[in-house]
Amino acid sequence: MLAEIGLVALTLSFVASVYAAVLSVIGERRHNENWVISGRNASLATFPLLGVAVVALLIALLTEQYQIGYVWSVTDPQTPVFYRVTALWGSQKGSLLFWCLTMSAFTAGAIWLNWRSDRRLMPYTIAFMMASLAFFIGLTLFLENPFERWWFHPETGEEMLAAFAPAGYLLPTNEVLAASANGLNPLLRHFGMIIHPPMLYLGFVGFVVPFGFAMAALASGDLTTNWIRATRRWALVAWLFLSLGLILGGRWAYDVLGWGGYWGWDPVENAAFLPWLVGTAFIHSVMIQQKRGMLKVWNMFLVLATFSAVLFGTFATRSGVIESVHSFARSEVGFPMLAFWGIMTLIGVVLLIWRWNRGELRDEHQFAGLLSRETLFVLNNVIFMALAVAIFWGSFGAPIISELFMGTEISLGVEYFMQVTPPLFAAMYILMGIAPLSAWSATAAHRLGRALVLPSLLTLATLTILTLLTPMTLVAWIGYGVVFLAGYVALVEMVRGAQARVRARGESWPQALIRLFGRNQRRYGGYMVHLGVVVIGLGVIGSTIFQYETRRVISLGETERIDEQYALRYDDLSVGLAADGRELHITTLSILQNGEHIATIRPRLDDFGEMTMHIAGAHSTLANDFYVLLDTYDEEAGLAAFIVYINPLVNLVWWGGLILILGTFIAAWPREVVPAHLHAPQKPAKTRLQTA
Amino acid sequence: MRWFYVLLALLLLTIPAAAQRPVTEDEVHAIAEDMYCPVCENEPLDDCRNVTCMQWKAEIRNMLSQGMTEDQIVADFIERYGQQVVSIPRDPTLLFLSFAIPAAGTVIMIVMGVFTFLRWRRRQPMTAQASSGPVFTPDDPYRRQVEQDIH
Repeated sequence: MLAEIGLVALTLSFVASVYAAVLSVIGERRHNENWVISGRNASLATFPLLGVAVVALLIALLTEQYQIGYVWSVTDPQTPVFYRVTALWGSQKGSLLFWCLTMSAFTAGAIWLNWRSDRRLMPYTIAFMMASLAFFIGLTLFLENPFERWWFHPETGEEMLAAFAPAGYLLPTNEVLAASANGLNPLLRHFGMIIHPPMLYLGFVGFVVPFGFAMAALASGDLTTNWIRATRRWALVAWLFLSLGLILGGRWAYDVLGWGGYWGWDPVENAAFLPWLVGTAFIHSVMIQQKRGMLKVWNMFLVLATFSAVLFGTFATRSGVIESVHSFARSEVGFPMLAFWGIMTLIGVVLLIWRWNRGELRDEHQFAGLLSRETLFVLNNVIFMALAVAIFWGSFGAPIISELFMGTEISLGVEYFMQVTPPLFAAMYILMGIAPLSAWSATAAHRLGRALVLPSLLTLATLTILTLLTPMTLVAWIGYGVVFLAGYVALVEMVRGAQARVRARGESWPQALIRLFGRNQRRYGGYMVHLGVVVIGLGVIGSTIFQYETRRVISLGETERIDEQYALRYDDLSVGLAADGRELHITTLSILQNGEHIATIRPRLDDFGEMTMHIAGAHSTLANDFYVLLDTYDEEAGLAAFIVYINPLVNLVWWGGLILILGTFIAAWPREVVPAHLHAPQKPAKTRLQTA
Repeated sequence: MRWFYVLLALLLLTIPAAAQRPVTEDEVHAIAEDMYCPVCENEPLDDCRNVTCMQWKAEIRNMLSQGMTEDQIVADFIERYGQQVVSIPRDPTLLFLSFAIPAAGTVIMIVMGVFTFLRWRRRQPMTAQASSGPVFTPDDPYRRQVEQDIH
């Protein structure tokens, strides 16, 4: 029954999305308000319909309906309830359905909230968003249907998966299927996996809203800043989720994949990073259009490129075209996804070129000065796009081209990325430090120089202290320098703003800071995001340049010196069985620092039969992670081989992520929710109509 | 325990060579971290624990114990398995291809930035002031309608 309910709801949502896409365009072209409203209602209906389909699948997972092929493939009778829920996105079919639900949530939210304020853009916005949704629902329904059931032929014994009963076939009993059920991929049995995929999906699909509005602006000819005003917050929300997804993905890799790091420059990781880079460029660049009416073509290009990167990333992740740890999602959807990516990108480019040639995307202001904020934002865009190109090339371009045209397979790995990206990241941090101090239109060099004095002095002082107290290399010195500069600029700007309030209004410092953020959420939320990126940068530099890695074989009861400070004592080994059937091989180790016992850790091997996972034991402090993996052991000989990592400052990556999320919340939070007394005074906006 | 026996068997293969020069796991790691698994694409050899990778690592250990340098070991693997075993191709053409495109991409981005500055400098400003509120284009039919109504 659940399969039928899910199937009907999924089919209806497909029909509704196609109907909405078609009818809203026809309604707009024929100026038929009723058709447009009908299209809107159909698009809103996709969300509850997909909600019903997802709930049906979730109930099937929780109630062990193994006759449904998806339930059989991702759970078994030993699977705990927690993982039955995460199994919803544990494989291609379920994750595609969940993807559709998140996309419909975004589209329904955008239509619901922007219907009145952006009425003129709505028909085409609905059309583009629903076309995207219809494609993904179509994929789920026709190629990766999670509601297909197992059928068997009583005479031939042949088994098959199908949505409807084939002639002469019967449903096998649930008990028979339960005995052979697969269970969830061991890599996905981790707390991080309950949050990481939904966050990443929300980040990916959220960009459908800015894309929909931008394409609607191009299609309808309303090329004012209306589409930007309508989508800025949506873009920030999508960016927030994408950032969260990337950070949680890093944490999951650090905890589960067992290689001592959080970012392996894996092509699929990079595929998720590309929309983040282009989206970040868009979020910055769009401010120039809002403030100065410039970069109209570029912003359209960026929003199109961001969604195109989302579609490409989805294709790369789900098609199995590039082998990686994410290739569990390989299936037949590759070609349709590639085609859809090409078609949507082509439509966007054609519309953009058409409007550009008609001269409808002309800038409204002229260039004022090399040190203006506009110029620095353009440079910032150059850096983000150069990073995106370099990462795309290393992950996809070079391997594909060398294979296609030179007949040689190559892999560009960590070595490539560690040579190409650091200079670009350094340039990004330098601009992050300078741009907030520049003014719109023009900035005098001496004024900018004066504003940089205090942050530069603070940076130099910090670097001097670090050089005296910790080991340092030239690369680390430069890296820390540019990152600290960006951080001090953000901090000094916040302190200056609060100080002005303290002096002028006699407010206390906490009060002044809170009101400062409340009155200019975008600016100070942005500074907070910069601080988050700075803290992440410190963590990345520390854990990359100064990471110490060694492999040791230790006898039971013996102590092994790791470096001048640390030693490890192998205390115990135990073997047990977990509730989900995996065999646990747990070692107990004591960490000694300068001879003193500071912590006990338990690195272990989780043996799932078909796969073994190496789960680290770690002692975390703000200074470093003492991270140990159990490589292998011999119980009889009392020997165990360990891989030991000392990862300096690695926890700053996670703390920086939290600061970044908090800053984005502040920047994106609706003004209506902020108490009125905290609002910045608004100048009445003059429209051209009023001016005329 | 089976992984231990696999590892042990592989280690035993290297005993005669190991007798020539003791090799630490860290030395093997230093070479393996920049090489790629032949089976699991895009997974560094160092982190991969499948049987083929264990064999490759045992082979690296063996070569080190025979006194081969890192460059010689890597060159030997490339000769046998191709450029995909390393994280940056050693073939000059492929190496150029790998780095030229990101460099060209950066140059193109910078040229685009310069082009944008020059365009801004040349162009006369439009009469309108950009604002965060709605702006009406000159050929906006809604604006024409409103102006007709006003006059």
